[in-house]
Amino acid sequence: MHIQRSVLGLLGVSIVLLLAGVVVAIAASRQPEKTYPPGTPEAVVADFIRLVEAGKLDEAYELMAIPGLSRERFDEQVDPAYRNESSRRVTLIGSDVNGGNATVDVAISTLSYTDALDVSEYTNRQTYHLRRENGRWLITGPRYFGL
Amino acid sequence: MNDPRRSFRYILAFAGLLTALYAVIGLLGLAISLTALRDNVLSSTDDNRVRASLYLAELIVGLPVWLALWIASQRRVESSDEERDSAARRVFLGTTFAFTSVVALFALHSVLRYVFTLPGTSDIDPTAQNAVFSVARLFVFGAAWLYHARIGWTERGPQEDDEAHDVAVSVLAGFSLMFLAIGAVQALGESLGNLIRSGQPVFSGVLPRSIWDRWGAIAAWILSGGFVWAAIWQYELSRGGARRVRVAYLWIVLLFAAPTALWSAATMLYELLRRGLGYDPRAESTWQFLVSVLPILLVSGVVWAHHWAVVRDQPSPRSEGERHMPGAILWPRRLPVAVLVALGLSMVTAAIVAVLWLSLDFVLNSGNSLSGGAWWRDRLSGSIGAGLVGLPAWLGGWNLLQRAAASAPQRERGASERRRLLGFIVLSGLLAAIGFGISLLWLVLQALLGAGLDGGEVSRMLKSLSAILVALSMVAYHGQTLRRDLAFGPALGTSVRISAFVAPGSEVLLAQLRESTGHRIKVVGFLSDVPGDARHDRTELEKQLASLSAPGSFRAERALILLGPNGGSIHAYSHQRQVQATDMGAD
Repeated sequence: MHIQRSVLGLLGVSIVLLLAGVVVAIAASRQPEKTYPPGTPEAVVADFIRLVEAGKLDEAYELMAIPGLSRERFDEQVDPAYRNESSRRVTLIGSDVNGGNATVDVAISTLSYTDALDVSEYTNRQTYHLRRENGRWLITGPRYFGL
Repeated sequence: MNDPRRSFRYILAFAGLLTALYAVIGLLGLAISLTALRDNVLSSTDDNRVRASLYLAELIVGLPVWLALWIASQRRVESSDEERDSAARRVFLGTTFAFTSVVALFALHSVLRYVFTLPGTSDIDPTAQNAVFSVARLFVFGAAWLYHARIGWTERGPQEDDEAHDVAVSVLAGFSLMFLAIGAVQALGESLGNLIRSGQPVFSGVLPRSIWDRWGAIAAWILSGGFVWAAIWQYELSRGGARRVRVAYLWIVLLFAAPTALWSAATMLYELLRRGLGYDPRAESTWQFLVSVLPILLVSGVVWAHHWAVVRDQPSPRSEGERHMPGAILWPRRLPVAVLVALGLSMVTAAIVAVLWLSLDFVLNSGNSLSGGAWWRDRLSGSIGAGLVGLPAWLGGWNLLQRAAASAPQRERGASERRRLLGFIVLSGLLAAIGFGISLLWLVLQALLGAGLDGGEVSRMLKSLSAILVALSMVAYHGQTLRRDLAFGPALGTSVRISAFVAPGSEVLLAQLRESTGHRIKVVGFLSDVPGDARHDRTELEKQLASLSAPGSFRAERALILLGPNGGSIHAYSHQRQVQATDMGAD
C-alpha cells in the first residue's frame, strides 16, 4: 500500500515535470531578445555580437575601430568561431562609462555539441573596450575575439 | 545471489536518473534565466531553442526509463527481501547517495561563492548565469539525494552493515574534508600574508572590494566543506561498528595528511635554516615563505591528528580481537605506523646521504666548482630539515613496531604490514643502490677511458657513493630484521576469507554464525541436499572459526564451510604449502 502511494506520487511528479518542461521549452523558444537604448555601449556590443553570429561581418566591422585590424584579418579571426556547431548565450556582467571611453564585460556561455551524447558547455569572459568617436561608440578591443 | 538482470535494471535506472536530473536542472536554470536574468542577456538567438530542446529530449527519455525501472524495483522490494538486500540495489543506493551528494556539495560551494563575492569586483567567477544553474543543481541533486538516502535508511538503518553505504559516506566525507582543508589553508595563508605585509592579520577600516573576492571565495570553501563535513562525519562516527570501509578511508586520509605535514615541516625548517645561515631572499619578505608552508603544515597536521585519534578508537572486528595478543599493536593501527616509518626513514636516508655527500665534497673541495661560496648552505639546510622531521617520525614508529615485536613476537613478526614494510625498505634500498651504482660506474669508466673529470663530476661521483653506502646500510639492517621475522613462518593475513555452500534450511544457522563470530561469511552456492560431513554443531563451528587465524596454528587464508540446518564442516586452506617455522633456517 505504501509502495502504491509512493508510485502514484512518483508518477504525478514525473507528469508535472514533463508538462513544466514543455512549457519552459515553448516559452524559451519564443523569448524575444533584450534591446538596449540605442547609442549606449551595451547596445553597440549587443549589435556587434548579433551581427557576427548572423554572419554579417561587413556590418560588424563597421562598429570597430581597432588600429591595424584589416577586414581580412577580422574575417580570419571570427569566421571559424561562428560557423562551428555551437550555441551561444552572451550575458552582460557589467559596464562602465568614463568620459569618452567605456568597457562592457560579458560572459559567453557556449553549448558545443555534435549530437546529444557529445555536449559540453563552457563559459568565457570578455571585456569589450569602446571609444566615442563622432558621437557614436566604436569597439577598440579586444583585438582577438573568443566568440 | 547476483542476478545479471537485476544489475542491468539498476545500471539503466541510474543512467535514466542522472539524465532526468540534468534535464530538470537545465530546464529550471533556463526558466530562471528567462525571468530573473532576462535583462542581462545580450544575445541568445538560437541558444534558448537549442538548450530547451536538448533538456526536454533528455527529460522525455531519461525520466520514463528511470521511472519504469525504479517502480519495477520497488515492487520487487515489496514482495521479496532478497531484492532489498541484493548487492545491486545496495550499490545503486550507495552510488546515488555518493554522486548526488557530491554534486550538491559542489553546487553549494558555487552558490556560496557567488553570494559572498557579490560585493566584490566584477571580474570574478561564477557569473549570475552559472550561479542560477548552481542553485538549480543544489536543489535538484539535494532532493534526489534526500529521496534515495531516506529509502536506503528505511531498508537498512545507519548502524547496520552496508558497505556500499559506507563507501558513499566516505566519498562525501573525503570531498567535504578537502573543501574545508582548501578553505582553511587559504584563510591562514591570507591572514599570514596580511600579517607579514601590514602587521595585521585582516584589513582594518573600510574593506576594499577585492577583499570580498578573496575572503568570499575562502568563506565559500570553509562553509560548504565545513558544514557538510561536520554533518556527515558526525553521522559516520555515530554509526559505530567495526567497518572495513571506514578504516580504509581513514588510512587514505592519513596517507595524504601525514606526508603533507612532514613535507611542509621539513620545508619550513629548510627555509628557516638557510635564512639563519645567511640566505637573503631579496625579492620577497624574509618571512614570505611562511605563507605557502605554514598553513599547509597546520591544516595537514590537524587532519592527521584528528584522523589518527579516530583510528585509535576503531573497534576491532571480532575475528581480529580474538587473535589479539598482549603487547601487540591493536588493529587497525599497524598499517599507518608502518607507512609513517617508511616516510620518516626515506627523509632520514635522504638527509644522511646529503650530509655524507656534503662532507666528502668539503674534504675534497669538489662542491663549489659550479656554485658560489655558500654552495653548502642549501644542501646542509635541506638535509638538517629533512633529518629533524624524519628522525622522530621514523624512530617513533620503528620503536613502536620493535617493542611490539619483542612483546608479542609471534603476532607482530608475522604481521603482513611489518613484512611488507621491511620488504619495501629492502627492495627500495637495493633499487637505489643499483641505480646509483650504475651512475658511479659510468663516471668511473669515463675517467678510465680518458675523459677528464671536473669538480662537478667528482661531486656527482661522491653523491652516488654516499647514496650507495647509505642504501646498503639500510638494506643490511632491515634485511637482517626481515630474515629473523621470516623464521616465524608465513605472514598473517589481516583476515580470513570465508565462503559457504549452504543446504536448504541452513539460513538460521548461517545468521547465528555470522552474528556470533563477527566473520563475513559469503554464500557462494546453494546445495540441493545436506552435506554428508556436516557433523559439527554450532558450538564446534564457532570454535573452529575463532581458531582460524590464531597464531601458531595453520595459517589459513581462506575457509570453506559446508552448512546444513543443524551443523556443518569447515575446511581451512591456504594458497601456499605450509612450512614449519623450524624449517625456515632461523638465525
